Amino acid sequence: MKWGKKDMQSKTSLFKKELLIQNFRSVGWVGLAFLIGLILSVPMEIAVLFSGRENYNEENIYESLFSIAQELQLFMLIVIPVLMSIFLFRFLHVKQSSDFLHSLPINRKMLFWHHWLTGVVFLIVPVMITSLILAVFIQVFDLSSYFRDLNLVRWFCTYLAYTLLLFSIGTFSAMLTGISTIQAILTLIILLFPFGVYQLIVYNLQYILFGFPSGYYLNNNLWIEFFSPLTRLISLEFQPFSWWEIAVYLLLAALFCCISLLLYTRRPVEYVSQAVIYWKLKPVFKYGATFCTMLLGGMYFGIIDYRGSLLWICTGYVVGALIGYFIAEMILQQTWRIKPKLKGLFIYFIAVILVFILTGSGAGGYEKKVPRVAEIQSVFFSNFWYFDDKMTNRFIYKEPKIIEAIQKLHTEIVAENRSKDVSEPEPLFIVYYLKNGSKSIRQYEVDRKSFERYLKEIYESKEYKKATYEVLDVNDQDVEQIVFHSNYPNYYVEKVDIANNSDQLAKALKALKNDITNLTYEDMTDERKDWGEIEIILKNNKQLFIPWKKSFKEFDEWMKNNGTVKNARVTADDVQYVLITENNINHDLDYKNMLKEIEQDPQTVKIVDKQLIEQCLQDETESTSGKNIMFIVYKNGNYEVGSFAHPEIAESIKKQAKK
Amino acid sequence: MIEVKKVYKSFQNATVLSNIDLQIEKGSIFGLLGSNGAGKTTLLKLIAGLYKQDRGDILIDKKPVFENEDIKQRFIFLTDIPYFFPHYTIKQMANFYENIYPSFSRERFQTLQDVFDLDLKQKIYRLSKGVQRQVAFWLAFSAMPELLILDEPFDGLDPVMRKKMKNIIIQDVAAREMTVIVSSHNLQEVEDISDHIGILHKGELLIKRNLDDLKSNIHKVQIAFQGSVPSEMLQQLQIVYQEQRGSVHLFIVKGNADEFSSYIKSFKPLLFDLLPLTLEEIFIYEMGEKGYAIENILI
Repeated sequence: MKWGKKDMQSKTSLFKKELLIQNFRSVGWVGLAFLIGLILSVPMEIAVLFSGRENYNEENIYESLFSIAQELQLFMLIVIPVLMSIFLFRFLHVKQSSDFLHSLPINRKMLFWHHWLTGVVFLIVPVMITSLILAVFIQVFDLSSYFRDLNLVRWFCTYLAYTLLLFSIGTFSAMLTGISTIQAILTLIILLFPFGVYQLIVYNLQYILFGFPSGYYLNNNLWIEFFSPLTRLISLEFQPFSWWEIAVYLLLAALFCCISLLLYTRRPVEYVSQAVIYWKLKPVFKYGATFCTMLLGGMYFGIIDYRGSLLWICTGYVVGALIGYFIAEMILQQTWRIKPKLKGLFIYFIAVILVFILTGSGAGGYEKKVPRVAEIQSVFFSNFWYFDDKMTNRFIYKEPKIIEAIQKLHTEIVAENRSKDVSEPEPLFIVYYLKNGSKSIRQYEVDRKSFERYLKEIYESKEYKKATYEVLDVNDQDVEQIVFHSNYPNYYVEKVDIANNSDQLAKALKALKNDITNLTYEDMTDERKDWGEIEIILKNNKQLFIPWKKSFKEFDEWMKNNGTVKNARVTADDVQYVLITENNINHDLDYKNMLKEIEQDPQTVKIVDKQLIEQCLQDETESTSGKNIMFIVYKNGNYEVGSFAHPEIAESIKKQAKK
Repeated sequence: MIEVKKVYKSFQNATVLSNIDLQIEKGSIFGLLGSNGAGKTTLLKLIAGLYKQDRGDILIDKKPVFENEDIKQRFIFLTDIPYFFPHYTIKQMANFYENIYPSFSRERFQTLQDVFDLDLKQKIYRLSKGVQRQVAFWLAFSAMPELLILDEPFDGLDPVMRKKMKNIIIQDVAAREMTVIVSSHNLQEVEDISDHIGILHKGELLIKRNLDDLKSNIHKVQIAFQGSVPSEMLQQLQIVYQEQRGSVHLFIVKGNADEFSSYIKSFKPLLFDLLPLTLEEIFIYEMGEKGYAIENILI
């Protein structure tokens, strides 16, 4: 019983022309749209810009070819390859076409290559045509002088690598799912995955690892936007793809292509229109989604309540995990009304708790590790992370004494471990540069009160003050003028005065420097509202801003002698009267109604005496949580609500006013 | 020859086919019967190499079908809803088939145009459901397959067209020894062309029979005796069913007709008629024997 006739097989060739024609018919429009988009966005735009050369403006130099119609170019870079993959592999997601094509005498490998290569051709050819046009334009218009970096080959290769990678990732997603919409979503998730997971993990590690510098890794990692092809586009204009990057993108494209092929040959075609085709991947998808949303939940809860307790963060984790789990189940079961398998969720939570405990305890070494003083070369210590190296360098200390003080503080923080209730939180950022060349980075938020002893030593040190107050290094003759503002932070009364004669400047500067040098830790953490801001304008146009502290005695003295006080800061003369009352008023009221309420309160004491008003102003804080509230009525009609830094001063003022 | 050996198939956790054993000889027409959801389409798709069985073997000419281009070149699988590429005309679709199937015959295609009488430049998606099915037949016949797998093929065809299609199938089977597998939920629809029948019920193949054997092996007998029926005779006959109307007895008897008629005649009945059974009746009794009511299996 022989069925086959050998001579017939010679008619079949490796490439099925008609299948290619069909593919061309189905996605040709995407390629055509790409070509039209490219021509409109680059050569056309250049022709318009450079045909009227006389309008050309010297400053109008373009960074690279990506600077021309940038939005459209970036849009196409992302959308076209993904669209291409969706339409090409649509046949896998529609039952009839899937059945038809898989019943044909073409094996899956060939089917895959027919489709994949069609996509590649339609992605490359439009870019090639546009490049040829651009090559002609560059000659005709002599464009090279109008671009900082005019590299057509690199432009072409960037398009090639980028679109091929996105197309391959789109293809890979098509293989994983049986629904085109899910393919699009999955593509987006895969594209953002490394970036997002890095962010999520780094952000969440701070909850698990005491001292983990999430902020440092999130803000100071210059590589972070390279983690996703999508975020990579942000700086594409200024930072074109390096040849290395192009190679890596092409390699990754090849990798995704191979995995897609491998998956396709194992694809069960009967699961058309299922969210996840390979049942073995279902748990990966389900618990992967649960894990990511759990981290997202923790991060979100952490952001909405910055000082949230561990319980709060854990609530965030549980809520996030539940949402992720149920959404994943809904997608997998393709219904709103899911029957959750609680057993799986239960096991998941146990596993997560174990991982958290293990990370937390296994990293005990990490949490407890404080380098020995002898190992430390220098140390960065500040209340902020800085983006630019210049600022960062200011806060790097090399003097043994302050290094020792910082190390001592750090040792204490570690010994106390997680500070319980942080009432006066002090953010601390520490980077040790060790003698062996390595870095040790930590970030804490500590209770100022508990570590006062150590903080005092650091804050009062000469080095710390030098780093914090740039003005200490300024010479008299470099100063152009000093401006005294009352409007920040006191915007109720706006006053500005200027000192610009050299005698005034020298005296003011000297007073300021002395005051700063004499600042104690208590002065520096003074709750009292600053008088204003001192702006020192240097001859090189640089500005320095110094908070005008109430503890600046010598400076205040100079101001009084100079007659600047009344011109620059709020004084009793600006105030009509002050009302002092017990802090039991409704703070949600607007000032007018609040004033009415306070006036009606029999406990309220009205201060009109200038000297007493001055005393009030001296002790004013911005916080409204004190025992006594001061309601200031300015002569200019403004109202202000504050309280007293020292309750005893409030009592004494009240007593004196009643006399 | 098509061999299906101990095949199992399940979708996720639902078993669709279990322990299917089937042999289809070259040149035969196999009618696969079963109600909706019995697993007919799945079995056909397994034979066509679309799906892969969980267990067992599916061989055509001793070779596995799945991903086997050589074997797939030799058959055409016509799905229950015919598929054509969007916006394709009949001509374009024919070009596609010609490119894909080495056995495609352009002459056959042109000859068949008289039967179908359709404009080649018509876009297929604009045609009615029935006409689209005609186009699918046209293309399938033109590809001159050695095996034609048809899933509910006559749905939506008018009786005249149905007859024409069946004639072409029979001609091809006679002329080229084409093998045909045709599924249906309707016995009458395949009765006239099939030589073998298989009944699928809830994923199991209940019956597979040669129709000629089946017809010659079961008969309806009407007898009347003076007095009661001799019990000795009843014991000797293989009676599947009996019924009495007055003095006339009706028996459904299995076995060789010649043998048992002469045996019955030896008891000198007053009345003896040997009547043929319709295929449907045969199945009713066959299935009844196995404990199934056919009304539940075929409609």
